[in-house]
Formats: sequence, structure tokens, C-alpha cells
Amino acid sequence: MNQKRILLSLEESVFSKNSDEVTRAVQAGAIDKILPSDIFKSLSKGIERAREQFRNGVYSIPDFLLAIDAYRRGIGFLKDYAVDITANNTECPPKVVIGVVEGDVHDLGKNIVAAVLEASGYQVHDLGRNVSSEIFIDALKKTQASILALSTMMSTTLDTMKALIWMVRKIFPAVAIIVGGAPFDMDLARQIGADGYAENAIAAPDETRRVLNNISTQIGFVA
Amino acid sequence: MKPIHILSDSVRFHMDPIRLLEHVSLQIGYPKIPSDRNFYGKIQEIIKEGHQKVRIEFAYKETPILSWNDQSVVAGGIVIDSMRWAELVRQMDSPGRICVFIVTVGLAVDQWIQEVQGRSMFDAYIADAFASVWIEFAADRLSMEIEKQYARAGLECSRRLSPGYCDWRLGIGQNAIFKLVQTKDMGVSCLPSGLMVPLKTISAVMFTGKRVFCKTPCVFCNDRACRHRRETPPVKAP
Ligand code: SF4
Repeated sequence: MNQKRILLSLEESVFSKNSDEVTRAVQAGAIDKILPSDIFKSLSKGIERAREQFRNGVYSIPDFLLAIDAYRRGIGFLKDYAVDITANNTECPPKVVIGVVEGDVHDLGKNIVAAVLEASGYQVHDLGRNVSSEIFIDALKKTQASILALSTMMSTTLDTMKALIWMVRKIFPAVAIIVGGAPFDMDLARQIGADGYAENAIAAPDETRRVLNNISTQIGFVA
Repeated sequence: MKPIHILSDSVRFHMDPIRLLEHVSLQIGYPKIPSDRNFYGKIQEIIKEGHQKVRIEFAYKETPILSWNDQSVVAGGIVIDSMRWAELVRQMDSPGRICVFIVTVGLAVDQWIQEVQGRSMFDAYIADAFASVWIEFAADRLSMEIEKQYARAGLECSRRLSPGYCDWRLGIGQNAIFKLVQTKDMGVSCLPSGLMVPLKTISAVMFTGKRVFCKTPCVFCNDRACRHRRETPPVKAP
């Protein structure tokens, strides 16, 4: 297979939810001649097309997760070879700090969002679950991330989340904050001070882009 | 397909495999069992794997209802702060006792779902759905068993109420239940947020009495948008 065909095959395999095909494509002889950033782009294109299918009602959530699995198979290959996918990428991807707030350990949804954001070109720093506010603040400081993504499936952790958002606003006014999880709708997200709300993992990249644009405009305006 | 039997103490937890598959399908958003063979095969594999992990344990306690008003119900060692369920008790003929239970599918299931996430998000999604179906089934099965036992004594039961549902606040409700029921032996704990570990655990209370005219307070509840509404027309008092 030539390089172009390998890249097309990677994109198509992710889109058609076929992890085994991804393996076949990465095992093709010429793969080591291809820039890791190009491999990453092909895998991401596959995810973007899968997202489109979901939005159009063609793919179900399980379908989309199969596409995510295929994408992760490809990314796993890059990581196995200790390849930095951003090495040949001249653009600096926006950084996201993501985690489940303290008091909650439901992390399946958050993990799916993290994978989708990564596939959409964000550099994701996943702090895990039951994460204290101090750890979130620390991570924002260290990574200089422009987005904070918070998740909870419980209503009893909303006060903790609200307090954390308040602190982040004070310390990092330029950070855009999105929330997600069972208790939320857009109203509740606004009430606790978030900039945006992702209804599901598939919507997360669009919502992240929207809040990021909004906050940039605001900061620009204030300046 | 062979039926599944999971024995826990004296209650037998048996779930019909086809019904299980239907419920898992429903849980992942398919009204019918998916017809795609590949898809179906994957779901079956996860279900098979999951059955090795399920170990149902439960703890149970009953205590007499001491008093009630329009805000709450007071029973021995527990206060249920729910206006809606207090109304249900007010409508009962001779409220007697409350039954409180905590049931879990076990920590191994949580650990399994975490492990599965490492290899496949799709598998983890199915595994999570499988565990949710099992824990709901186990809680239903226990509720039915309690109802049966009470019926033998000529008494009736309400449906189950869990903290976080209707107007019983999660943190307050879990606190009340965990003070009453001993869970150390079954390995269930509760965080200050009200989250139970293992995740696939249900805690609940049922109200019993001579006649329970409404099984849930839905008939006199104004929350029209409630997703959990179970309309039960009141049984007319003789
Ligand atoms: S409608 Fe919903 S909130 Fe109201 S009593 Fe029924 S379950 Fe509870």
C-alpha cells in the first residue's frame, strides 16, 4: 500500500468502526515513512465523519464507540512507537484539563469525552475521577490549559463544582469552562457559572469550540 | 441458552437470558435486540464475561413506623424526609413498618468495567449497561420477595423509594439508610456525597401497612415532567 492509500484506509477504518482494519493498515510496510501527524489527522478525520453520522441519526452511541475504539487502536500504535503526535504539527492544539469532580467516581462518560476531544485535535490532560479542586487548579497552572471540562453524574457534587468554577474564574479568567453529566441542562450549567454544557460526548468538541471562541472574543473585547 | 442462577442467601436471583439481552439492548438505546450479527455477538460476549463477575449481596432491615406528618415519616432509627411519600403513608390504612434494603452486584463488577474501559469503550458501555440491568433486576427481585412475605401476613407494600428520587434528597436519604443498615460485611460504603461504592448498588425503602392504596405517590404528584412517573390509580377504600 502506498502512503496515501494507508492514510485513506485509516480514515475509512475508523469511520466504518473497524479496529481490525486499522491494525491491518498500520502493519502495512510503508507506515513508518508517514509523518505521525498525518496518521493522526487521518484517524481524526474518521472520527469527524463518525460524529457526522451520529448527528444525522445514522450512527447510534454504540456505533460511535466502535469508531472510537478503532481510533484508539491507531493512536495506540503511535504511542507504542513513542511517537509524539504533535511533533510535526506546527499548530499548537488547545489544551483541555478534564476530570470528574470530588465525591463522584462515575467516569465512563468523561473517558468517552476525553477520547472524542483528543480525536478532535485537543491536547487532553485527564485527571481521572473523584478529583479534588486543588488538583484541578494545580493542573490548570501547570498545563496553562485554555479549557476546563468538569463532569459529574450526581446532584450532591454540584456545590463542589460550583465552588471550583468560582475559584477558576478568579484565578484563570481566560479559561473556558464546560460541564457535562446526568444532572445538567444548559440552564443548570449557567446557574453554576459554566460557559457551556455538552449534552453528550459527541457534542463535546462543538461546544468546546463555541465556548473557546466566546471567551476569546470576551477577553479581546476587555483588552 | 441456559438460564442464569445466582444464589444469594435465601433469595434466588434468576434472570432469563433473552430478557437480559432485551434489557441490555434497551439500555444502550435499541428498542429491540440488534439484528447485526457482529454487534449481537459482541454484546453476548460481554454478557458472558460479566456473569463471571456478578455476585449479588444484600442487607435488609425492617423497623416500625412511629409517626408521620405532611413533611416526613419517622420510623425506628430513620426519618424519611419526603413530603410525597409522607402523603402516601397518610393515605394508607394502618401504616405498619418500613423495609430498608441495600443490594449490590459487587465490587468485582466495578473493577471489571474499569478494566474493560482500557481495551474498548464499546465493551465498557455494554458492560455498564449489563451491570445496570442486573442491579435494577436484583432490587426488583428483592422488592417482590418483600412484598410476597408481607402478603403472606395479609399486609401490603408500596413500591420502593431510593434516596435522590422524588423529593427525598440523596445525601440526607443515604445517610439515614446507612445509619440503619449494616453494610460492612457486604463491602458497601457510602461517600459523603451520597455515592455508594460499589457503583452498581441500590438502597431503598418500602412502606408497609394493612392497605396501601397508592403504590407510589405519583397520582397526587404535580411533577408532570418526571421521568420516573409510575401512574397508579388509587384503589378505592372499601
Ligand atoms: S411523578 Fe416522579 S417525583 Fe412525582 S411521585 Fe412519581 S416518581 Fe416521584
